[in-house]
Formats: sequence, structure tokens, C-alpha cells
Amino acid sequence: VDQRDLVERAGRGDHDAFAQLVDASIARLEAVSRLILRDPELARDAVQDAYIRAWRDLPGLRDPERFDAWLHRLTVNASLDAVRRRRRRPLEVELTPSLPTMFGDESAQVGNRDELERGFRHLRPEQRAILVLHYYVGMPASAVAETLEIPMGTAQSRLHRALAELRAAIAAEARSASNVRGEVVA
Amino acid sequence: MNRHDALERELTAWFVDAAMPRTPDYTTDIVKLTATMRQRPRWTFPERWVPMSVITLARRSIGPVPWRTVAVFVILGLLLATVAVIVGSQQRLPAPFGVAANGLVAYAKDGHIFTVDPATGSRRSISSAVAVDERPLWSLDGTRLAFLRVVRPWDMQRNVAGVHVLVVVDKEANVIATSEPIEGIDPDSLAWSPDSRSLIVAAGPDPQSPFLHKIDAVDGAVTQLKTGYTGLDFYLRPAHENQILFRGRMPEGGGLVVASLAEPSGAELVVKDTAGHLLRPNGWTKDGRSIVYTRGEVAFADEYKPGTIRLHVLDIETKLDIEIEAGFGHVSNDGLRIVALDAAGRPCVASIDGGPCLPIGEVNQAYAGYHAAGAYWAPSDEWIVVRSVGDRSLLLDPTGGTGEQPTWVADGAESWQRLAP
Repeated sequence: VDQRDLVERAGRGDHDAFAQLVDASIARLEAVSRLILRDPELARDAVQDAYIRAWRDLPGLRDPERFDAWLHRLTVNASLDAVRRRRRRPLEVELTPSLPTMFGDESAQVGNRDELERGFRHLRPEQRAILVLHYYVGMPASAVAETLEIPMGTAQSRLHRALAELRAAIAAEARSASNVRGEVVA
Repeated sequence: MNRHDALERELTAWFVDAAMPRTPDYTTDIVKLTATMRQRPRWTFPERWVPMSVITLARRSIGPVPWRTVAVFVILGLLLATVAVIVGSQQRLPAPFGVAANGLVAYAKDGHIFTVDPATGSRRSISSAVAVDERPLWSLDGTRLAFLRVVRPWDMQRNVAGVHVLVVVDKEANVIATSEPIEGIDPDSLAWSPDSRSLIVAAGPDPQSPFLHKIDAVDGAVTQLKTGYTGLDFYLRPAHENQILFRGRMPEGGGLVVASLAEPSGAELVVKDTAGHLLRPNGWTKDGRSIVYTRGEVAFADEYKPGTIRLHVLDIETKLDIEIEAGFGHVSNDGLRIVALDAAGRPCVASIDGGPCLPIGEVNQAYAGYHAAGAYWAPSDEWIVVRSVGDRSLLLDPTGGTGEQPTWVADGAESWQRLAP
């Protein structure tokens, strides 16, 4: 089914068309929200909020081709809103079993996937969102800019900065782990 | 392949592994929930009424408000404003030499010290009503005013030198320091050091052989400087810390002497007295390389023979000497001109590089008896102040003219305050 047709029909009040759009997109958006929030309950609330807003505001979307970007923006914004609403509640850790993996030059000891995950958690939700859109959804910087409604240059600099802070956080995690190991040996 | 690439690849891989996209079990709930909701009417969306190009342009140009950036700029603005207020409230001071702005004129009248705004004529009494004060002198940075207070007047009948104390006040007339009593001060020899922390004065029981004294402008301590010379007419050297030019005498002869206030014993005689001639120092050029002095044939005692006076600008390193047909010069603050008296006794202005001294006034408008010169420059070089034989000040235009009467009438020489230009 042509997505453009579904978007146009949903925009005119066809709820069946909207249900098809939900089915086609919810797995990806739920994953995006979960990666940003690292909390399945928060992600559920955020995704639900995003679709409710999508349904209500779909008649205002003039360009059906921009539906995906628009839906991602609603999801990212809903996720960030969820963080703000529940700032005081500690985020739950969703552990994904994975084997320790070295990336890049092993001698450089960049760290393993646990360190990557812990480093990622040190980032602000806005930074996580931009990394998820770029490295998970696969959006180029221009699409990230359009989705987040920020200038292209801002998107690029935020992406660069998020990556740099992730790298620093991983290095800090690695140093911390090394110190702990050193204390145990001593 | 670098570490950066590896991190990006691993991040992508971890996202894919951790995301595990799946159709969540609440999908049906969302569909059911939205089915009960009404959409916003299409006409309520502004986007439906505005051309797409405008919307696109707005999206590109406006964007979300960068509150963090705005906050940073606001903080920076406040910091700059604070700095501006602090800097603005701090007093800017003029350099000790060079052109400055004209401030207040300090002068003595009937034993009291006054300051007057030359522009408005507004005046203020600085000294107390009971003491007899004289010879006010602004520091070169314009922040302090020194004057002499008579402790014991000169006894002319018995030829006993008078005793003074030096009083230093700030611009608000608060007394900063009062010196120890000093006997036999030559009031016209008073000079401020460039750092405005001390003054130099000639003093001693024998008025013909006074010694150099340094007066601390903070604690009032008086120290005799042992240069080996008795001295008069002091001129601090620009661009050379603590050096002074004066007319020095010693038993075996004298002349113009340059001494260091830090090491006065190393005084150097740069121009020797010669028989039948008189020498008087008139100052320094702006760069401190050359001295300006007057030389002429002696007629009687300290009197010059009319028509014999010459002004010299002597480079004390190269000994290059420029002679000008005038005498009793005073270098302008910009260092380019000299006001002097020509052979007829008229105030005149010459270039520091030599050439004729062009008259700017009349005979008897300037008197050669004061400060080795009867004329000096206002801090801005806008006026030349001359003191006539009748002891009345007059403001002359350096380019010529009839002159103006100032707004003050002084007993003796006045002093013009220097302000930051």
C-alpha cells in the first residue's frame, strides 16, 4: 500500500488508514524511544503520546512525504517530554545480553560494549536522540535537522559533540574499571 | 581504520542489538484509543493557510529558541556591563608628560589656596583660614595638590631664612601628608616626581647655596639628596625614571647638572659655567634626550645683559646643540614648540628644531623672573600662560592674538591641573 495514500486518507479522518500507518511504524518508533530513554515503561508512554498527537494533528500535515520525519519528531519530542515529566524517577536499566566486544584497534583499549552502554547513559536524552536518529534510524544529518527542526549546521555540531561526549564517557568508564581492577589486585 | 570509525560502527551495532524492534503489545490499545478521538479540524492549522515555501523558509530560519545560548549572551552582557561600570568608575589619569586635558587652576591669594575652574570661574578654598599658604603645585597626574605653609616667615631685617611645611591634599582637599619643617625653601624650585609620590625642592639656611631635598608625599619625610652640588630650578626628565636637571653649584664651579634621585652622588655636570655668563635650565624635550637651557652674558649679579640671551636645545648624548635667538624657554606638552622671550622681551614661539622665535605678545607681558621663564603651557597646549611684570596672569593664544584675562587673580605663580585627555 502506498504510504502517501494512507497518510492522505488518515489526514482526512480515515482511522483504518491510520491503523495501518501505526502497524507499519510502531516497531521502529518504539525501538527509537526505548533506545533514547533506556526505559520500556517510559518508552511505552512516549510512543502512545506520539501516536495520539499524530492522529489529532495529521490533518495539519500538508506534505505527506514528510510523514516519517514528522512522526519521528513527534516520538523524539514525546520521549524527551517523558524524561522531563519523570525526571525524578531513576531510569531502569534494560540489559541486553551481549558478549564483550572490542571495537577498533584492540591495543587502543577503547572499551567493551558494557562500557559503551554505560557511556551512552551518561549522555543527555537530547544527545541520545540525535545519535539514535543518525546511527540507528540511519538518517543523514540533513534529515536529522529536518526531524528536529534545527538548522543543518546545528545538527552536525550536535552530532559531533554527542559523539565526542560519548567517547569521553567511555574513556572515563574504562579508567574507572581499570582503577577498580587495580585496587582488587593490590 | 581509526578508533572513531570503530566507535561509530560499534554504536550502530549496539543500537541494532539493543533495539530489537518488535510490534509492542500495546499497539491495539493505541489504535483503539485514537479511534475514540476526534482529529483537529483542518482549518485550525496555520500551515494550511500559509504557502509551503513560507513554511519551509520559516522552518529553516527560525528554529527553536536557543535558550542556553541566549542565557550565555545575557550573562556575558551583564559581565561586560559590570566591567564597563567598574572601568568607567575608575579614574583615568594622564601620563606625567605629554598633552593632557585642562583641569582646575590652583593659585594662592592673600595667603590662601584656591582652585578655580577656568571655564566657569567656579572657585573653592582649599586651605585653612588661619595659616599662610603659598605656591600651590599640582602633581603631574593631577590627583594631588601640594603647597607650602609658612611656619616662620623670612626675617628680612635679620636675614634669617623662613621655615615652611609642605602640605599635600587630594582633589577633595583632604590632607594626605604634612612634611617636617624645612628651613629656607626656595618656593619656585618645587617640582613633583613623575610618579606623584614625592617632591623635590631646594632648601637651606643660605639662600645662595640651597641643597636638594626630597619630600615624601605620603609620610612627609624630608631627605637631603647629596649630589655634591647646591641647586636650583629642577626639571624631572621624561622617559627616564628618577632623573633630574638642575642648576648646580659647588666651590670649584658649577653649571647644569643631571642627577639620579636614586643615586644622587653620581650627578653629572653636562654644561659648565663659564666666566661672564649665566646659565639657567629650562627643561627637557619630550623624549628626554635633550635639555633646554638659557645662556647669556651677565650684566650684574643674576641679571642678563640685554640682547645676549640664547636658548639652547642640547642632546646630552650626541652634544648636538640647536641655538634659538630667545631665552627662558618652556617646551610645549606635545614636545614640538618652545615658548620663550625674544630679544625685545616679547613672548614668542619657536620650533623645537630651531628657527626664528615668532612673537605672540607684547613687551612686558611675560616676566623672566619666574621659574626661569615667564611663560608656560596649559596642559592641553591650547593656551600659554604668561605672568607680566605687574604680576598679572594672561592667557595667550600660541598662534598669536591679543590674549585673554583669566578668571583668577593670583599672588605668584598658579598651577594648572592635568587631566586624562
